[in-house]
Amino acid sequence: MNMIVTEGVSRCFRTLAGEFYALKNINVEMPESKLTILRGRSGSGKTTLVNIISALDQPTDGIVLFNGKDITRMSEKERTKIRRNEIGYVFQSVALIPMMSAYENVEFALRMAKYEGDYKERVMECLHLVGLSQRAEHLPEELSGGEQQRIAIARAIAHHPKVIFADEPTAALDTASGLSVVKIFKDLVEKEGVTVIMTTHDVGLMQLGDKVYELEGGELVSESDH
Amino acid sequence: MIRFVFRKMLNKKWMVLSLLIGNILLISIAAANPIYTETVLQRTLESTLSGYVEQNNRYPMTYTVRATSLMNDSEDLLETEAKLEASTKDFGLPMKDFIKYYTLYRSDTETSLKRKDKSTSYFLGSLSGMEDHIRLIEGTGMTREPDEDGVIDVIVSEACLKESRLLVGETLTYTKYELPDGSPLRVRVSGVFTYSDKEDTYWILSPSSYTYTMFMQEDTFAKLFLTPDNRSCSAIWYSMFDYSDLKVKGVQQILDAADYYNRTMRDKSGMKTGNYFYDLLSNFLKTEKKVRTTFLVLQVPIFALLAAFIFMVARQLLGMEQGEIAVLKSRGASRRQTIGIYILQSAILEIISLAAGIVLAVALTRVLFSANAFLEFVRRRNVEILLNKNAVIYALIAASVSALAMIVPVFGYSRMTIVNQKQKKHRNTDVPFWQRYFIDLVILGASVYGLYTFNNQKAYLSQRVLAGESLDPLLFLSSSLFMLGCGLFILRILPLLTRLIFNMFKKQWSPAVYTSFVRILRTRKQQGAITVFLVMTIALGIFNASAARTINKNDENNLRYTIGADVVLQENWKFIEEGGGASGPDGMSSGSGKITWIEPSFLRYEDLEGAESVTKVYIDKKGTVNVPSGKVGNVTMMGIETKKFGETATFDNSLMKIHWYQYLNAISQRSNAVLLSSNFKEYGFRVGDLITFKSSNGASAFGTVYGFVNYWPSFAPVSYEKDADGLMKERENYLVVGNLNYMQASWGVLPYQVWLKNKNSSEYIYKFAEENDVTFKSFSDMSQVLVKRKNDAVLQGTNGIFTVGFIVALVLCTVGFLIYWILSVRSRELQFGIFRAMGMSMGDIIHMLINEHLFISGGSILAGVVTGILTARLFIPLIMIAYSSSDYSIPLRIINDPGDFIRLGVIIGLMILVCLMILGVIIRGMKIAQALKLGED
Repeated sequence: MNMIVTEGVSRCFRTLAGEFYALKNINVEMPESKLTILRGRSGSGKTTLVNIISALDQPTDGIVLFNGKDITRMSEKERTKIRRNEIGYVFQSVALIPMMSAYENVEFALRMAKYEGDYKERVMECLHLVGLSQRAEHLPEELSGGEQQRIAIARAIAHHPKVIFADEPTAALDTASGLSVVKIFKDLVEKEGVTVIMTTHDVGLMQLGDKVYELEGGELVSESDH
Repeated sequence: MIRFVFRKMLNKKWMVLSLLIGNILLISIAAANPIYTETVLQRTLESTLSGYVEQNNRYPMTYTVRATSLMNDSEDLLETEAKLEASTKDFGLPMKDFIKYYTLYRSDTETSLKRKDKSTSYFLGSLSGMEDHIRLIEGTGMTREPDEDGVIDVIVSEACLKESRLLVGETLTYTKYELPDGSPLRVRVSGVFTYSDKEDTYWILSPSSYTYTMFMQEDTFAKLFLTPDNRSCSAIWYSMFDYSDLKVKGVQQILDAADYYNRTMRDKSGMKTGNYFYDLLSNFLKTEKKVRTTFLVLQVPIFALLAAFIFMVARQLLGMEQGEIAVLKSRGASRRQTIGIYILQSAILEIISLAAGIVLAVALTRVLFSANAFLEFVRRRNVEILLNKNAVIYALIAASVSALAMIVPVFGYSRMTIVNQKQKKHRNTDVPFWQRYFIDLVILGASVYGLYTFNNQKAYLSQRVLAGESLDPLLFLSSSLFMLGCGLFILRILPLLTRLIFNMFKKQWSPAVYTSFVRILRTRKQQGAITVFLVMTIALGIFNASAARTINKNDENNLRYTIGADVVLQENWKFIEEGGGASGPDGMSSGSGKITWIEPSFLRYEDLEGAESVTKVYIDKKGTVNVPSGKVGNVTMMGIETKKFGETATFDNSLMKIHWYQYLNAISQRSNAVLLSSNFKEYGFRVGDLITFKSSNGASAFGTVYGFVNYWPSFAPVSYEKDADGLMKERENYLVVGNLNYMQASWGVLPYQVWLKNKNSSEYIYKFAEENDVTFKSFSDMSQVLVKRKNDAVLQGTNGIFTVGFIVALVLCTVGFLIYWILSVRSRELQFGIFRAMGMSMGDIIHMLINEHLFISGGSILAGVVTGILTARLFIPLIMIAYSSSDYSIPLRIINDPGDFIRLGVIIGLMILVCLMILGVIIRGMKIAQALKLGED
């Protein structure tokens, strides 16, 4: 079963220099409960693709099926609902809310998704999963880059989303921290059955993916299963 | 470097624009102060002098020297004349007229006609320039030369002709004098003159007062009598200076010159000096001092606010550039270069602001002078705006201060490297420094201490003001400090309240509201400046509005009370003196014999179309009341017709606990019932007591006390008089109100006042006076008095300052508010992106911002309103002292016009709306994907 399917997705940006295609006719199939990696150099269009398949941006052409539903035909309201309930995001830049503690940041995701269970239990569970239950009361600026990214992951998974999108989650981290982040994703896929889709420019992380797509100049150049 | 600075400024164009607005406002207000102070003073000076002419029909700038001693011979006189003629240089004014009155001492004459004369001794004189100011009623004028018989033609005034029963053509021979050639001095009455124009200020003494003077041609007089060694001439010189170009600066010179001439003239024996202007001008100088201080001090809060604004925006701008500075520094830019950049930036800003500010200052002064009352404007005829040197100096000072405010913080920042900066960022959640060090309480304490001290000295302060001094500027400072302290204190309390609300419903809040609360509570330091600023501006706006309204309204109420009715007048009554049988205008009686007054028909007033009601009011301010310990003098006796008085007089009911009609009803029950002023209670009087009171001419009457009143139409409970030391002293006044019928039965019909209530305008009364040729002994038209009061330059200036202060407060409020919110949204674009990505809808985000507005802006606005009202209540009574006048009768009431709150509310509401709209546009234009990208660098 595929979580994400795209058919002929293109994204065109109008710039002063004329039209510029960031994505050209992309067709991908990303399976459920697997780790899919989108690889490419910066400017290859991988962030644009992630934004489109995660309902943050709209394609100029083509359709995106999210869990079988065409999100390109949905209203902004419905897309907001999908983002809130079914998706968790981890961004390249650490995107924690600066005035909230680690605990509150995670809890916030639960608030957003109107989580039914016990907040405290779930927050601590997630923090434990990323190995940071000791730092719950710290503010983001009091944590290191890797720690912040792990909090971001805890936040992304807190409300049990179907899919986690991670755009270059390791870019700002050293190799060891980067590896531990990907490890967490791997664990999530295996233990909780979450679908994870991440982008990276790092060739060394490629073999960790269940499925790998490579992008270059807005076009899909290779596709491989492991 | 200039290009770098320009590029930097363009980058932050909104901040720079705000800085520019702040600077231009500051400079223009600073520059406007001397401009309109000067203009107000000039207008006051002009109206002082022209008011004098109107009231006295005399030319105020007249300096008079009399030489009436036989010690002075003609040469001395001519020498003095020359000296006085040259005095224009010392007075600094050109001569409008230099009138010389030379005369031979009065001497007996022999007439050519045989008849019984009442008087036969006359002066023979000459008045320079006389021919241009007279009209001949009879006969011909003066001739230049004696005729072939050596007879000189003279003219006399009408009064002289009547008094001496002279005949035109009659020849008189002076027995004491002769002509230089030894022949007898003979004059022929060739004509009778009067003034050509009644209003002509040439006639310092009217022609009718020259009852014993024969006038001859001036040159002939000089040739014949102003000869060496002649000691039979006396002289009066009137130097009339042309003051049409008199400037405020020139006033002191005039006083100095007058002092000088008084001294030098009196050195000579037999010289006396006099003038009309000395008191007038020295009082003006006192007013000048008062006006200068008051106007400057009234603006202190506005200056403070503007300075705070500039400082705030400059800091904000610097904060935004902190990173850049740190980077420059890390890349090896010296501290001097960094500071240089900012000095250059402020220089550019100040130069633009100076140019624009001075232009705006002139415009602002025009606005100020069209202020009729607070926030009320009228078109006024061309007021001459006096741009002066001080304006430029003030503008330069303002510019330098504001440049300093922009540059000083750079010194701190320029020391920081990128490392310090990152470290410092961590302390963002700290409480503001003023809270940590309890600065709010310190400021509040200091200002309350000031308030307390000033309240204790109130009586003394008002005495000083009445004596012409200005109010202590510290008073205004403490009111500003109070506003600041109070505002800060409320801001200390408000978050506790917010926290309480937040915690009470913590679980129920939607994620958006929850986030906004977290933000409100955890970013207090960032909000600090804007909240304090909002509190200050709103408080100042309310305070200004309240102060202006209070000053205007109390003034107006006092005038209404003091006058008593729409129109109050008293006709000139004719009288018959027993024995002499002479009749004339009142006040001119010779004092002997019994006087019977002839009452003018009152029916004429009752028939007036334009009057709604009219009544007779008898007022005698020199009555006496017998008290157990003796007598009380100078009691105001007032005889009224109770019903009509109630219908006609103006009275503010709230001045007394019981409606004043009740008092009228009480005394209407019995003919000799009286009301006494409350201070009579001190003499042991109670209701029901019988009292004896006397009118000013000694006739007594008895009355039964029916009540005591604190206030009564036109009655001043206390008045102020200058005592021997020149200090203003309070005097208690006493009042007896009785029935007019009873007083007239006891004392006869004495001249009374007529009080009228208008149907619409008071025009009818002027028409009446003109048609019936009635002249009034006293006349006040309330509407005219009120209009005149509104045109008072000092009051106008005050209104103008308050109005401008209010408007400036609003502008700053709006700009400050917009800056804060736009910045706060811009700096959070990434956060909004995250929120959107996490599933917050646009509506949620706007909801979040509205909630922030509610607690940050709403809290500040609330604090501002409370602070403003509180400051007004506590400090306006003190500030009113600056406007005390000796005729203030009724208690002060603080006026808050709901209209001002509505205005303020509407403007703030609009401001928030515009702000939300701008924010909405910003947020709507924000693409989530783009917002997120921002974070990637």
